[in-house]
Amino acid sequence: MTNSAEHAPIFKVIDDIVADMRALDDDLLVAFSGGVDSSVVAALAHRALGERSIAVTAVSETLAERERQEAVEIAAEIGIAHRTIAFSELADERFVENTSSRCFFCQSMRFAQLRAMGEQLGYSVVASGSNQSDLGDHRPGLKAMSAQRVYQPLLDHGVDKAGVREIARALGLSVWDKPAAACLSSRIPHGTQVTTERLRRIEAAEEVLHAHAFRQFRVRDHGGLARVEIATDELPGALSAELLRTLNAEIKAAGFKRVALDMVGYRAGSLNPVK
Amino acid sequence: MDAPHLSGSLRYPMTRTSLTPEQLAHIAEVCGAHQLMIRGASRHGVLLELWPESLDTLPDSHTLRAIAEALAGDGVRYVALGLDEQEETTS
Repeated sequence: MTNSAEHAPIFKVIDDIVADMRALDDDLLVAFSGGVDSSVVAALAHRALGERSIAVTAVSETLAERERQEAVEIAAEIGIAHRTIAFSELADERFVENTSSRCFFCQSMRFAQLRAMGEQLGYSVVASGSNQSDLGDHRPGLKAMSAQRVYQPLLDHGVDKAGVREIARALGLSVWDKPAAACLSSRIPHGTQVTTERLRRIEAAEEVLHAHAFRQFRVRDHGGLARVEIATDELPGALSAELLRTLNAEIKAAGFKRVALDMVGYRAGSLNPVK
Repeated sequence: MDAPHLSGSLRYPMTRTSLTPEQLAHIAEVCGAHQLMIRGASRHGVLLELWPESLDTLPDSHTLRAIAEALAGDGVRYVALGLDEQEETTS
């Protein structure tokens, strides 16, 4: 890397965040999903604090097994200590009910668990990978984090999603271009209960799409009908009759009664309330 | 009401929730104008599911998007292509 690259603005942001973390003068626990946002925070925490930082993945019914495994791998790549904590979202009726406040209840539970674990292990500060691009969208989870006094360094430094990916790339993280992956309950429309059966069939259906090498997609559960959203740049490749027939059969085998291909393509938060 | 761009007659009850003849005619007109042959459609709340005559003769993704955008609204939030090619039985 050239000297001019090392002085690029993104490196100043990195240095500023690292300096902030050191100034906390406290041990830091990162809420770690293995996505690019929390991976950046974990990598910066490790750079700033070394063994005084830890990444913790909260494992619940809404976390796909694939994501859990990738979190373990990425933590190892970063070099940060990593643990998991198990908790049940389905134990909370308010979460199961799946109103537009679902994420508030989920994140409240999640961060309460993480904070309790942090206190047990001696990590006083809990950090998340929330970033500037999360503002303005329907994100009740941010309210929960605010209420829990979660440290949000990317948000504090005005880093948006593009900036997060730029930082990840500058740090050499393999996840710099990893597609965004929300929890599995985001595939279930508000007002429809979140159940183990629905979550597992969604996960199995999305594994079908992974197996066919799609990168960005969602399987939305409309009462047993799987509405498959595929990223617009990948959609042309999905329009082969043979592939569609295969997807139909395999997604039905995952537990759905009907399968339909969304004609607009993947859009983040497509089940969020209309503003 | 016969919709000229639909192949044959409509072979299924049009609704899981009701589609009016006017709605059906509009769907048929939009699909036909974009060279998408459908054998029927159904509505599941805010989701409109189109049943193509064949998966072998689908238009390109830009055209599918244009169809979806033309059919969205009036309570329809999502437009999707059903992948079943077989006859349905009413339940």
